[in-house]
Amino acid sequence: MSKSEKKIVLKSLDNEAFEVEKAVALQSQTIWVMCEDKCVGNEIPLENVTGQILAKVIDYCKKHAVVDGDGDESSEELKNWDTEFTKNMDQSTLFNMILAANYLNIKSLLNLTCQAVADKTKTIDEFHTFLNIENNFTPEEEAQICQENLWAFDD
Amino acid sequence: MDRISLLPDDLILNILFMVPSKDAVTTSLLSKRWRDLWKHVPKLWYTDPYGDSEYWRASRFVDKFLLLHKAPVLETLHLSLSRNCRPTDIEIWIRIAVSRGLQNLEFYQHRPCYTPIRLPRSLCTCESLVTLRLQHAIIVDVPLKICFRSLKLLALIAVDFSRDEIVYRVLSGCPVLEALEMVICSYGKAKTFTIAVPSLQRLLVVDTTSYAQVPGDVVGIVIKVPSLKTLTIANRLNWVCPVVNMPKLEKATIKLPYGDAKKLLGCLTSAKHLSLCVKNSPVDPYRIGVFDQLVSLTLCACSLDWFRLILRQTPKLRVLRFQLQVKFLSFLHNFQRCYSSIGDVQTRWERPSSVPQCLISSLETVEWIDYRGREAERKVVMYLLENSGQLKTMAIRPLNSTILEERHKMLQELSSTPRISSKCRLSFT
Repeated sequence: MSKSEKKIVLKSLDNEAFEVEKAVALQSQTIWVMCEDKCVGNEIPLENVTGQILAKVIDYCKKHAVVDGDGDESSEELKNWDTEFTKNMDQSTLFNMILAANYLNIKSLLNLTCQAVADKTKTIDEFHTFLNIENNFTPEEEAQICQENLWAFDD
Repeated sequence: MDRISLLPDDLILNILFMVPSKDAVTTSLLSKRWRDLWKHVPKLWYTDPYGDSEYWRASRFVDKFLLLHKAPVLETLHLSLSRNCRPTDIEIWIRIAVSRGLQNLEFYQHRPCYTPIRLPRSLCTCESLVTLRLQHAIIVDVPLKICFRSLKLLALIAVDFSRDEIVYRVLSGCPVLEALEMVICSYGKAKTFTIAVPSLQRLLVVDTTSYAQVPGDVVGIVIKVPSLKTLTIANRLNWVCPVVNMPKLEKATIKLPYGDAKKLLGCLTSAKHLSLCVKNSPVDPYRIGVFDQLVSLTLCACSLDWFRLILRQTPKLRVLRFQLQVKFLSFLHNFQRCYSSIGDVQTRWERPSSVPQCLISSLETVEWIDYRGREAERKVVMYLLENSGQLKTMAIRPLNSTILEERHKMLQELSSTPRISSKCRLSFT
């Protein structure tokens, strides 16, 4: 394989170009399918992902492509890296990451980002505040659901 | 802005998949859109709260959930119970889950109430099951025709078996099993475990029983796993007997402070990474074979006797590490420390008659974690500095409790030792 074949260019929604190793990019099933399809050249347009988010996705893929081989403690180290990676992401970045991971079909990243949202929303109040969900129930409706799901609420 | 509402349902379900079912049901109170979403999460995850909650709460929760659940499949059933559940209830839940395409089953019982469970017949022939984790259960019987056609991971944590034969029967019903984890906490009736799984790639057997509980030399395992890549064996087992070679082995962690490791080591010669905590010193090094693939070796400080002998058999070794404990499982801290090395065990150190091959041609990194500066340890470090021609890093990390004065002395002594390798850097932290 020549050097140029080993690299591909990913282009974001806002036309930012990222040159990455093929092995890094191919963790995305979506990109993998696009590369299989010979019509696509060396440049892959990703219409659903902004440059800011794509840069983060590439960081993730780079980390997860490298750690292999010297099996010693690498899995633990990788886990810590993952935790740090999502720790300080704000709500909007996290959701964009979920959408990007879903669109690019990177299962481990999708799980990681969904887990991060789940970790930040342990109680119903956290759900309301972190996710900004507006309660559109009438008091009667709310009381009815409470009654229906009493088996899960009381202890 | 409410960004989560922009996510399609399947992604919201993905998030709800990560939380216990109790929390998922709670989201029904968020808004109209969320009211029924939890019913489509393909997972039932119930953990009994510790404390006074009575058994009927768990039973009511699981029953109601299964009744209202609407997802086409129930991928994961994760039950963690602290009360005595009626075995018939547990069997019914598992049976319902199996009929809904169960792929992952995790079943934990907390002390002190173990209920012996009979694996339901439908589970034992479940075609969709991929992972099975059982903790604190007693398996008293399994049907003769057991077959987990898709099972890849089996974890048996503190699971007792009524007979040796049951272990064998369960394992021989797993034609594609890749990983097996067994943590033995007591010996019920079973004394010898035979692990013969041709497809197995990862094997972990940890025995956490106290020494006094083990009667004589009857407890041990026979392993026949030709495709193994990762092997972890630890603690009180008296013997481990591999009956085939493991040519694909990459990583092995062996901690057998009371047992006989000679026979085992002979079958590990293809390993690339090896961690050893094996106190009994070998009589004849040539019988353990040549580790011609070995790249990194971690030795417990109690196994210094092994060091001189094994170094002759590792011609390609690049990284050598000494540490008081051999890490193998994050959730089993207590069993990782090597107690025999903490006491004042006198280990001998004799200079080899000639310099081992790996010191001349390959050894680049030496790390010593929890260095205590004892005579044998000092002599080993000095020998390595004086004879390792390719050495780039000698990293010494003294035991935390070492006083400053002592640290100075250690550093002075080591930094004045001549180094044969001009590239060698001494780091002392």
